[in-house]
Amino acid sequence: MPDGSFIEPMHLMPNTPAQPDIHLVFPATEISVRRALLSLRASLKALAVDDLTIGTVEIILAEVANNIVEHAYPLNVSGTVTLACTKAEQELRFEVCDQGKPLPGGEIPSKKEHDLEADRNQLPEGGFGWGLIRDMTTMLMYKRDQGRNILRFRVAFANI
Amino acid sequence: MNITSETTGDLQILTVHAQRIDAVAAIQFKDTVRELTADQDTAVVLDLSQVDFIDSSGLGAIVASMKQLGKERPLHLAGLTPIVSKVFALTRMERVFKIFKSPHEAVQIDEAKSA
Repeated sequence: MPDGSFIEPMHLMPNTPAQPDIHLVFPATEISVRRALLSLRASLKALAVDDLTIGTVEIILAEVANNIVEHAYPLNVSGTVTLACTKAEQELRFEVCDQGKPLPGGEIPSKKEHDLEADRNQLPEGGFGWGLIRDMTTMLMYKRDQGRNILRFRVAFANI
Repeated sequence: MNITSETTGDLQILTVHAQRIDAVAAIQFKDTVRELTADQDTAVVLDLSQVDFIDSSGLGAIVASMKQLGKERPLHLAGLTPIVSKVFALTRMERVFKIFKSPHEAVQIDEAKSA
């Protein structure tokens, strides 16, 4: 590889295994997100994942999936979310796909630093999602491919 | 969403009887807290010891409830479970609230009763 050549980060990722440990497809609605998270929780439990890791995963997936529900699909459009999870030795690897609008600017938004010294009426009531996702994942990548959003991330086991 | 209210001395204690304050429950949470606190004038302690999951919508609903109570009536939190506590820490919102181990602890501390 010649010096200075740009390697697209996504190419550094190993391919998602053909057979993930968990595979969920669910409608992009708030209530379906809740049901999918409960299903994911039960599946991770069955894979002997510890409770603290499951809790962390649940928050990340809630933010990722609710972002898709709120921002990727327009109102009154029925979309779906596809989630694949593979258990590795020290972490869980996730891929979440949807066919909605791309992320603004084609990039994962940065963590918003809120002014918490502000007057209480100015305190934020939202905008926490991507910050939580960034804080809780060990690897996070986004790409747009043939009309699909593909988000991949990893979550390290809490007990190691 | 089932939230019960109990007034002890100078504090109104709201106990959330639900495992989740998520995007589905957020608006109902806000509405219920508003109804329960409408005819009171004391500080409020929100007992979250039965809540094991909160997302950013739920967090936003708690902040909205705090604002809605106004300057004279602080909203405190009690009984944060590990994952709920983690969400408050990572978003730094733990700095915005007084957090007690339990409602019982809040009742014993005079500081909880004033703004």
